[in-house]
Amino acid sequence: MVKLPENGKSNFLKAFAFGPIMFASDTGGNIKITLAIGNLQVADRIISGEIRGLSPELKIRKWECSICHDDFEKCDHEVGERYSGLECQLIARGITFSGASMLTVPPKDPRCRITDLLLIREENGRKKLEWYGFRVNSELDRFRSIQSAYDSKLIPQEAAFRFGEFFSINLTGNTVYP
Amino acid sequence: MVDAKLFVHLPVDKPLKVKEKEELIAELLSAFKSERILDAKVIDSYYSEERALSEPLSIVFVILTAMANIATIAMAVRTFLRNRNVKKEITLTTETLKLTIKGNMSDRDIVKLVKEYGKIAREREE
Repeated sequence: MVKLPENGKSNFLKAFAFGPIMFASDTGGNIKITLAIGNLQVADRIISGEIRGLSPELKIRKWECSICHDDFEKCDHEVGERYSGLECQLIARGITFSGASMLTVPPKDPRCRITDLLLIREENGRKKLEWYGFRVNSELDRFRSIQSAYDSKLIPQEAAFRFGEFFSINLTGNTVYP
Repeated sequence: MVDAKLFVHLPVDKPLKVKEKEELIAELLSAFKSERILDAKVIDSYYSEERALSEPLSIVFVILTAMANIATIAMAVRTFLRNRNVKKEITLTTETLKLTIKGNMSDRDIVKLVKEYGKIAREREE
């Protein structure tokens, strides 16, 4: 359970989730994201395991028709129909990554999920950092998430060392700095 | 009054042909007019895909209007869903709100929904 400060003001606590959101089908390479979590109840639901999956949101500007290679919106072909033995299929063009969603249902690709959660509290003007490590696809993923938090200046170097040290012994769990 | 940019996400089975898209836009704007939002115009459209979900594709209409509050806009979207007999719920997003609207919602349901979202947005700001 994420404990809110006694005055109930949630802006004393920030949360960031880390994890791979999209895998290349051929190489296994992936895109990792860091999500700032505005609603702290969500952090609670991530810790409990209720929210874990990640889904990329893609913006598609144009669809190409596989039969005539023209703009699908303007051509006369229909998806799934056969033309001279060839099935009409859609090819997405002009794709941009527009955001990410957290899921309460398992994602199509089970590797796309939150692997780490960072909680930042401020108590009496001092920052207290808590790192939750969940199941990862490979051991290196955890260290990459910690490195990413350090590179983004979310955590200082000493905290990154502390978390790295903890997770070199424990595969999953949570640890606090200082 | 400030221009509001709205994003109406409507689930579709496949990308639409030009004519289908034009029909959809005409119906959407007609629903806005029926709620006396006369200045609404579609300034952009694209498709949005949620890769990890089973019903991934939506067409997104970007609408600009300055004449209405969010509850009236939500009612216009509801009217559109009713007229078209769309069973699926659709999402309306603005800079600050994300509302899920269903065709069977009453005006009261919509006002309640908007108030609830407004409350959450205020709490976040505080």
